[in-house]
Formats: sequence, C-alpha cells, structure tokens
Amino acid sequence: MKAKTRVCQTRGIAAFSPVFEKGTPVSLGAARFSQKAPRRGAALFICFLVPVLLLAGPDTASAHGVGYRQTGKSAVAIEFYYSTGELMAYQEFRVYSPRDEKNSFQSGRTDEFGRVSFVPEVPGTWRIVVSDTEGHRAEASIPITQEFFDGGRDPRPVSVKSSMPEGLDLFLRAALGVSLLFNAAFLVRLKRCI
Amino acid sequence: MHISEGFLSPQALAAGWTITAAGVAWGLKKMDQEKIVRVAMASSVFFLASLVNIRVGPSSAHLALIGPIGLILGWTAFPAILTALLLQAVLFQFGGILVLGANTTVMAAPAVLVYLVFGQAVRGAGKKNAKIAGAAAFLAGSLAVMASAGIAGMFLFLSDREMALTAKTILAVHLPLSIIEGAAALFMTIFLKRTFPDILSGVERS
Repeated sequence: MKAKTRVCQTRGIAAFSPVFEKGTPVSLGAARFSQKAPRRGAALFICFLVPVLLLAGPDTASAHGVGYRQTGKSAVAIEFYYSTGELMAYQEFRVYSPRDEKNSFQSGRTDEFGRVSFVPEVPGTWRIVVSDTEGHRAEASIPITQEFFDGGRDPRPVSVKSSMPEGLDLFLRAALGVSLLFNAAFLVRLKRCI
Repeated sequence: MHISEGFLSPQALAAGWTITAAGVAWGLKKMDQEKIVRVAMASSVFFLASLVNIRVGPSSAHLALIGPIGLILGWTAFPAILTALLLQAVLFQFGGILVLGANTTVMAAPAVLVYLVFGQAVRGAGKKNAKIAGAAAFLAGSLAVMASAGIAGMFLFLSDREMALTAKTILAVHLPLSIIEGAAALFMTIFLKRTFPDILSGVERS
C-alpha cells in the first residue's frame, strides 16, 4: 500500500511542478495569472486528494476483484418442519462440521420452505441445528461418506426424524397412550388395594 | 408450550425435576384411591388435547386444558400431567425425556395454582353464584395458560439470558390461546356442573 501511495505522490509532484515553474512569474501579467490560476488550483487539488484518498481508505483502495463460478461440489439439502407439518421457514440454523463441533461451519436462516443446504467439505457426521424464537429446536445428523466426495453420489439416506406420526399411526399411538394411562391407574389402584 | 430438548441448562433441568418430584409426591399422597379413574381420565384428556392444533397468527399452538385439569384434579395434576407428558414425549415426540421435569412444572404448577385460587369459586353452587363461577372458570382457564407460558419463559431465560426475546414471544403467542382456553374452561365447567357436578369436587381425600 505504502509503495503505491508513494508512487502516486511522486507523480503528483511531477505533474504539478511544471505548472509551478511556469506559474511563478505571476507579476508578468494579470491576464496570464487569471488563466493559470484555475489550472494550478485543480492540479494542487488532485495532487493532494489522490494521496489523501489512498491513505484514508486503504480497504476501499485495495481493489479486490470479485467473481463467481459454479462449483462442481455436491450440496446436501435438508428440510425442517414442525410436528404440525408446518415448515420451519425463515428460522435460524447452524451447520457444524465433524472437524469442529463448537464453531459453526455455516449459519443463516432456512428458506421459505424450511430448507437448509450446505456443501460438505470433509466426510463424517455433519450436524444441522434449526431453532425458532418459540423454544423449538430440531437437530439433524447427516452422515457424509467418502463415496459422496468421490462419485458425487447422494449421501446415505438420512434417518428421518419425523417429529410427529400421522394418520392411522397417530390414531393408534393416541389409543395406546390412553390405554396405558388407564392401565397405569388400575395398576396403582390394585397395588394400593393389596 | 412444550420446551424442546437441548434448550435448558442443567440447573434449569434440575430445578424442573425437583419441583416436579415434590409436586408428584404431594399429589400422590393426597389422591383418593377410589377416584383414580378420574385422574386417568383427566390425564387422557390432557394427553389428547395436545393433538388439537389451533392456528395463532403465523405459528400454531395446541390446546392444553391446563385450567380444567387443575380444577378437576387439584394437586393430583402433577402425577397426571407427568404421565401424560411422558407418553406424549414417547409417542408423539413432544418435548423430551430430559426436559420432562421442566415441562411438568410448566403445565402442572399453573394447574395447581388455579385450583387453589379459583377452585372454591368454581365449585360454588346455586344460581346466585353461577356468574361468579363462570367468570372464575374463564379466568382459571386463561390465566393458567399465561402462567404456564410465563414459567416456560422463565425456564428459558434462566438457562440463557439471550432467551429474553424468546420468553417474550412465548407470552405474546399464548395470549390468543389463553382466551380460547378460558372459553373452553368456561364451557367445560358449565357442562360438568350440569351433568356431573361431583367431578369438580376434586379427587383428594376428604
């Protein structure tokens, strides 16, 4: 940075100096003076402005180019939903790499459809945690094998941790629950009676 | 209403289990053996009520019927709710096993509270007391939900100070539900008073 600034400064003086030399005999004529003055002012302005700007904003002046390209790496996309079937849309998520369990690899918000997608870098079990503002938290563990990186194949089927059974299953579970409750009550009563 | 696994600190979990253990012990001690079927029934109602979802704005909440359960069971609400929550955790994946203590406290403590505060007024017989009993039932139902949300918020806040916003959100979300629960408690008590007034006399040993 310093080197660049120096170069500019020397250039500034070089550009400025001829004007200075020509402009020095001001007493030669008023007309001449009035013509030269604005130019000299502009030259002075530029001469000081350039180094000042370069010194003031080294970050802006570092001129990092940016670009983009499509990555050939495969991504994993996981969908999160509530037990009601509602999608966990726009909720905060964190992705943890198997390399670092404490610091998140990626963070952000789920998309409109409750999805999180990430590009795994190493094989192992990747963890995704989605939490909302109401005390709900879903955690998914995604096993990523070396095969996934070699062949770009889909990761092993993720064990679906459905948060809520549906249909007949739900009905049977509800019935089982009620039955268990009454059985427990009768057991307690039987025990006390004996 | 159910606090999920992984949000609470070990201290908060321990506090939840301690309160629950004390409540369950006291509840079982006070329970009349002859009326255990009522306890099982109330517990089943609580167990099933959580399957009824009500959309509240962008999110949804489910019925808890904490007020009516409290009015019917009194102190026995603790063992009844603990059992129902255990079954919900195992069968429906609501909440979790570690947070069971905290969740039981969140729902059973308000139930006992409304029983102690409004129980007498709700049981009041006669036409004269009907309006007071109705108002008491409504308040019992709605305040139980708010107290429950408050305790849940407190658990979260104690675990993590950054959860203050979450705690406030929980309270805000449960405001509309509290009105629905209040109405449910009101209609349930009116119905029970007409058909089965004895059930409101509690299940405790006389």
